[in-house]
Amino acid sequence: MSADIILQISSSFQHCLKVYSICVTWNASEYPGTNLTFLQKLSSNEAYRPCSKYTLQQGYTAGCLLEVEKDEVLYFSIRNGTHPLLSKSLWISSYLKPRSLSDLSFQWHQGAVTVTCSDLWYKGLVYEIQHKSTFDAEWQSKEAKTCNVTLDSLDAEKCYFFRARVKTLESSYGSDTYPSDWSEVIRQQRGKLTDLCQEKS
Amino acid sequence: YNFTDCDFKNIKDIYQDVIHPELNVYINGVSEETFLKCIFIPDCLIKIEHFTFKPIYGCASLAKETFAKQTNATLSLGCSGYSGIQINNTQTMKKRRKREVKTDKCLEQVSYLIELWRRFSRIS
Repeated sequence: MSADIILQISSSFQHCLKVYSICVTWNASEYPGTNLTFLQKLSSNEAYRPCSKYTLQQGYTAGCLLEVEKDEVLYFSIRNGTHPLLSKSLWISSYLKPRSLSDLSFQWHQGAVTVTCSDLWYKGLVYEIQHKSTFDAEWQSKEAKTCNVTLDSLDAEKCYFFRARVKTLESSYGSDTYPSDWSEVIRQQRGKLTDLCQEKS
Repeated sequence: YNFTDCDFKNIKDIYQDVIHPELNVYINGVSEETFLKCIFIPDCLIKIEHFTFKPIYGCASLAKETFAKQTNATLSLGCSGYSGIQINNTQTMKKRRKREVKTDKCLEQVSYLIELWRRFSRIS
């Protein structure tokens, strides 16, 4: 296996299409101006199939886009002609980037707020809620294994910003995954949505 | 034992809180390019038991490691009818005097275990 090939892999689950879309990109500095080929299969006793959707860089193959219906083992090989440079097998989910959270809801009660959203369907995730008031420069974080987080010691009169994202547990996915993008920032004052909060400059 | 009659949620919680940190202590940052798959939950536990307790050439026994004892206790508690692995203490003492170095083979075995436990944790 060639250690000179730097791989970047990410997979995300497209909820509307119900498929994992996977992006494998390689940086093979030792093979400039070469169209490397990417072969893949989903079962060890299948035959390799060539990539059907290459991504190019300066006109040469630099990555492959795949779609798979469920979390499977991806077996792939990157070759220079017929010569294999790198062969690997991995669970698609071990490079997961969860989709960002969208349906946040807020329940205010005596100086605290409970932020909830619908849990993503796969397991082994951590939901991170961040908040700050207009007087704070830094976000404060709180995490939980489900999307149900209560933030205490808040002053409902103040204006607060909230955002959320989801990360994978290392014990379930390893360390090659990515956190989701942050949700949009939501502003709340006196327990209601508001657009009037001004960030502290 | 086929590991179909177990409290998988409880086993997963103990794995995440107790066994996973110990596996990381053992592997201590060594990254092995290994890959071993298990598809369904019982299949994962069968392979976890095999790689944890079955001695192989080059890796005399992981059974006395902390993570292995925790695995033994977790499976015994979590799976009805599972009696666990009996570890021969005198044998363990004799082996401990001879071996203190973690062999590459043992690191490879534990890398397989990490993969198997991760998969188990994602699907249970």
